Amino acid sequence: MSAVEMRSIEDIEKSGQWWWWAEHKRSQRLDYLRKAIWKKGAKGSGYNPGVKLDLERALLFTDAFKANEADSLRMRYAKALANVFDNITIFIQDNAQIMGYLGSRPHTIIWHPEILFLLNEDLYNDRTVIPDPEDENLAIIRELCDYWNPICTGAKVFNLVPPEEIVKLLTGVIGWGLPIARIGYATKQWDYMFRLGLEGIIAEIDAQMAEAEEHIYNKVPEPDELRYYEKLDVWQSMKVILEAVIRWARRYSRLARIIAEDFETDPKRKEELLRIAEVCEKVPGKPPEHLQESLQFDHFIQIACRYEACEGAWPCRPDYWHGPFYDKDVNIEGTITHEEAIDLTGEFLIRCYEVGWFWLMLARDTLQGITGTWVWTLGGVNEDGTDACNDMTDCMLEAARMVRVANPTFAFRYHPAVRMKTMRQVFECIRQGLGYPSMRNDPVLITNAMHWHKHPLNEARRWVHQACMSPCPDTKLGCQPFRMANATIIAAKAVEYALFDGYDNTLQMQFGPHTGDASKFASYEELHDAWYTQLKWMMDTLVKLTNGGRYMAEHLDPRPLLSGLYERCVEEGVDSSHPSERGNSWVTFFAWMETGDSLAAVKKLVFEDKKYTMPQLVEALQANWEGFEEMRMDFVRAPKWGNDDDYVDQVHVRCHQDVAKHSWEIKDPTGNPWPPLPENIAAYVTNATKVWALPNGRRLGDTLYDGGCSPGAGMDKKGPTAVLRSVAKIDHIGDVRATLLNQRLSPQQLAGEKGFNVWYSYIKTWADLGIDHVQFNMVDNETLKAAQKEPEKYPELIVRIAGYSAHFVDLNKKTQDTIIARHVQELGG
Amino acid sequence: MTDWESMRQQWLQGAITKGRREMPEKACAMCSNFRQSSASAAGDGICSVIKHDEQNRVVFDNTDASDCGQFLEMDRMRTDTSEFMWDPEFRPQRQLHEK
Repeated sequence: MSAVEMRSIEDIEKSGQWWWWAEHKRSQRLDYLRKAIWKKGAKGSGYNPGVKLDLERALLFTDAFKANEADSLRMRYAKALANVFDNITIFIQDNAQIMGYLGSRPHTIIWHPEILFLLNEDLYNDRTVIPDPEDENLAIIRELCDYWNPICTGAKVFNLVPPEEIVKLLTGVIGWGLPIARIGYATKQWDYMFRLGLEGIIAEIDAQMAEAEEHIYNKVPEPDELRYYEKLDVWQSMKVILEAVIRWARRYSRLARIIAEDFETDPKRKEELLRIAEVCEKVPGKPPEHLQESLQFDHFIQIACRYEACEGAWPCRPDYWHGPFYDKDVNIEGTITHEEAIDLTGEFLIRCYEVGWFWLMLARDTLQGITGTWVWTLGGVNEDGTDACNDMTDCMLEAARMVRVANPTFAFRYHPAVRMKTMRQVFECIRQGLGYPSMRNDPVLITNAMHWHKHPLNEARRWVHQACMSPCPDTKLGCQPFRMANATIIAAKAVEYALFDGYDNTLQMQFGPHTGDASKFASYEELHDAWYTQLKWMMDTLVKLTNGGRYMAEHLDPRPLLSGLYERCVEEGVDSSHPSERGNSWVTFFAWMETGDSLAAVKKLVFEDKKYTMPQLVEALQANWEGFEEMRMDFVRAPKWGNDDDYVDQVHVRCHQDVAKHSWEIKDPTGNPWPPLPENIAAYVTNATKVWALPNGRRLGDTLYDGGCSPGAGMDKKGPTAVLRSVAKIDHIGDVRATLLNQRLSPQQLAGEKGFNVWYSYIKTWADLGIDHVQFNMVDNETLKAAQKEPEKYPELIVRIAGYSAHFVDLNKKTQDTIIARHVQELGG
Repeated sequence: MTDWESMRQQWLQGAITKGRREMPEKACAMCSNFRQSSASAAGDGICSVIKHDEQNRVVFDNTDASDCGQFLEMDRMRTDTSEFMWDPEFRPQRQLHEK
């Protein structure tokens, strides 16, 4: 027995080593499943040893795609994917109760060769994931690359836009992501799926097709009825793939039954396998009636959609949709115990954590440790405004502490009527160092959704996180089928361009528009105007690309499976990317808060105090502050955000207001605005080499600020209340779609009942101030430093990055150091 | 063909190779002037020094730099500013072995 195993639970609790606490507390089943995980998130930017490429998906997809050349592109995609569901190897893991895996073996990642030739070439040249026999598999991969590279979505999309814009996007200095529908975030409509099951949806499709045939087959169609030819193709492709998903699920049913009847000797496991067989026979074809069925339904759909596309987010609200089944099984009928529900829920989290595919370098870098921003939404209110927290909310939170996975993470919709027992569960997760749930201010975000996208109140109350941060209703007209991540700007570059007339110092070429020689600016207003011009140019450039990609996606990159899961698409006979939803677009702003701090420093030191001149500043920045250390320190010491200092805070507020104004001037394909959403994931580290020296005292290579409205690391010197007061000066309804606040709290201070009361008071203040988000790290530096030294002892130590959580040991050293450098706030007791 | 169009062509066609890329002794990946794309995937990027007219040259991490007069070897120590791009876990993928 190890020293850890011999320690009492009380000792472990006292030392705050919750990862060992979890190992003691969880059931044998969960412990087995947790330890059997193959992590698919990249460590640094490479995959973990042993993780290998799965070629089955790519080969089956390609075979059927080639065999159906006479069909439309969407039908070819549907048949190609159906061939995957019918033939990919399936397996059942020991102790598992929830089926469905992305890949034919537990340690594999799949590949979508139809998306992007750059991804294909990256894979072909990868030295770590090619499975044995390597030469043989490399030849297969080369053949697939040669087939797909010229016809993949990326090749088509890159030819849609002017060459200047695609080159600027590809350099990666002004934005991030690509305008491709199969790399996106899809909010799903669970009320539709759970109400009808896929068989019910197919029946609706049949009815639509019968009606369409009346229009075009039984008479000479009128001109406006000719559109039914295309709609029929859409409906037929939906039907092909929905039927295939049902068959795929039933393959698991057959396998479970075969194992139970022919091989399993343990009577208890045999019973479980027969139950699995019943569940997989039923869902997702038919609506679920019990918790295991609803979780299984959910998981099948999420996995099936990821066989279709690289869905980089996982929008859902599991307590809201699974809560009634928990209530029925545990509280009303007593068919399962709470502990059994925890086992199912914990496994549901683990199954999600295992999902991975061969992913773009940009995603491996900026989402270190995970495979997507899978933020699950908990809590909040019902459509009538009453508290939506239920026993499934608590069950999810409790299960998360048992399995301690870094993905999914939770975000909790806080409102004043949240029941206290759930608040305590939320606090326990944070106190035990999960870094989640993040806290979201429900009344603010409901109003925000109504303000920007005109969702009616009852639908706005149904919001889920579309990715890390953005609220999106999961209703028929609220669901956004995909959000392409390339509407993401590196906002601090606008400050750099304003100071260098649009010239990019890191690339050494002209990038932005000419806004004049900054050394000749005679007033702060001239600098502000130049910055605003550059920022608008960046937003416009990326929004143009995204609008084009979105508009053309139904022709270039249709998604028959996703389309068949939306009520509006089935009703209208359109692809999911057809912009008939209410809309939910936003522009992500990486590296945003450097803007206000930089502009305020110039305003004060150059134009007001006149300690330096603009030519001096431009010269110092050009030199990356080298040889100007004394001057740089003056700019570091200039007023900074997060200290309740109106001088600098009002510069920030004005910048936010200007951006919000421009958001209404540019429209997405649904006719809605493009509001800003400042946050960073791990891009505050990766972009450090993209952003030149700035007037806030930052040098090229220094990490950027880690949040969307967080102060710079170590810049908030006046305590947590001052941080909140600064952040509250932003209008969290009218000026942003959402924004991200990172805070570090001391685990010692938040121990016990007193700790809960202190934290709860903080949350009430935060909510009263109208701030939309806050998330916490509550791990002390001693533990983090010990984990750097001996990572093998801390495999389940989790930290919050910025919009997602990761296991600390999966981060590269530099990102780890930025977590340690964040200021620990002491809350008043 | 405009400069931008030419740059796009270099970028898109240059990414596709028939053989598996090999890393030369002296490659752009080892040069301080190489700017790897963070929007893409395949070791693509541009040189911040060499230009054709106004536009920078598109290069790849494995572009042979043995004859390049502008080659400026990157500091391979783990520093606060350069370590990320060539993280230790990433280097073996690109055959960038430690010295």
